[in-house]
Amino acid sequence: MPLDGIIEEIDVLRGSEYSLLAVLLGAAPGADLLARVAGLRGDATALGMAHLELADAARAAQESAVSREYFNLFVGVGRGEFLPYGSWYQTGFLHERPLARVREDLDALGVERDGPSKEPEDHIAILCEVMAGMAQGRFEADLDAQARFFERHIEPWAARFFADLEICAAATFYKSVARVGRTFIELEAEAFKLPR
Amino acid sequence: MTESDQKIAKAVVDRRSFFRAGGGVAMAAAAAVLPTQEAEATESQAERTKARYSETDHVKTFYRVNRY
Repeated sequence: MPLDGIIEEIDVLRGSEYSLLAVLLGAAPGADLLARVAGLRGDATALGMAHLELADAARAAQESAVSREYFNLFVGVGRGEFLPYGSWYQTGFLHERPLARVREDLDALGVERDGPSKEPEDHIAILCEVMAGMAQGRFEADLDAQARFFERHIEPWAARFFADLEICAAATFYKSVARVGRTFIELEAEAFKLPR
Repeated sequence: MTESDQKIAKAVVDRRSFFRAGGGVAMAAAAAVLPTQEAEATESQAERTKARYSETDHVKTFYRVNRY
């Protein structure tokens, strides 16, 4: 939060975008959420076009099919097609140093888990949720801290993950989610490189 | 304003205009999609750990037949 601790409107919006990704990647969306995503508006920007594609996909999707798709992609029997964890993408194994680094930074932020989930904290949905919280001022983090968190835990691998998901044959609804994710992560990476 | 304040102000404006050009309007749409309330778990802890075993006829038959 650059000036006077006032949260910029643009940061609130960034937080919403992160929250949207977190909610769609953290669990299969129910019919209610799908209906709301179908109302997503866009414009001629890359992110806007990705939104329109996602809205189309949500409109065409059935809750049961999306549920099954989510299961096949991210849960599976044993494992899903994708392991959306920083450790996996950066080391080839789960529960690795990248996870330890995330936990370190979450400790420093004073963020802890609320709920019964046992998901490792380097899951893309959790990282997006943390970014949303920081952007919207729910977690104490100035822009520099947000940039550090992004560069340390998301930038090394998230765009690659979304690109993989986008070209996966088994993904139909999630192909569009991936396109939004990739576009937004690329936008964020560029934005954090701007002089602060 | 001091020089550093001016620098910060310029940086803020830069970020604002970058996002506005790159998708600020689009992001506003995302805000409209999400409920103001935080997403709740679809399964509560009670639901997860509740007793599901019940002695149906099928189960009783199994026990009876097992004694033969």
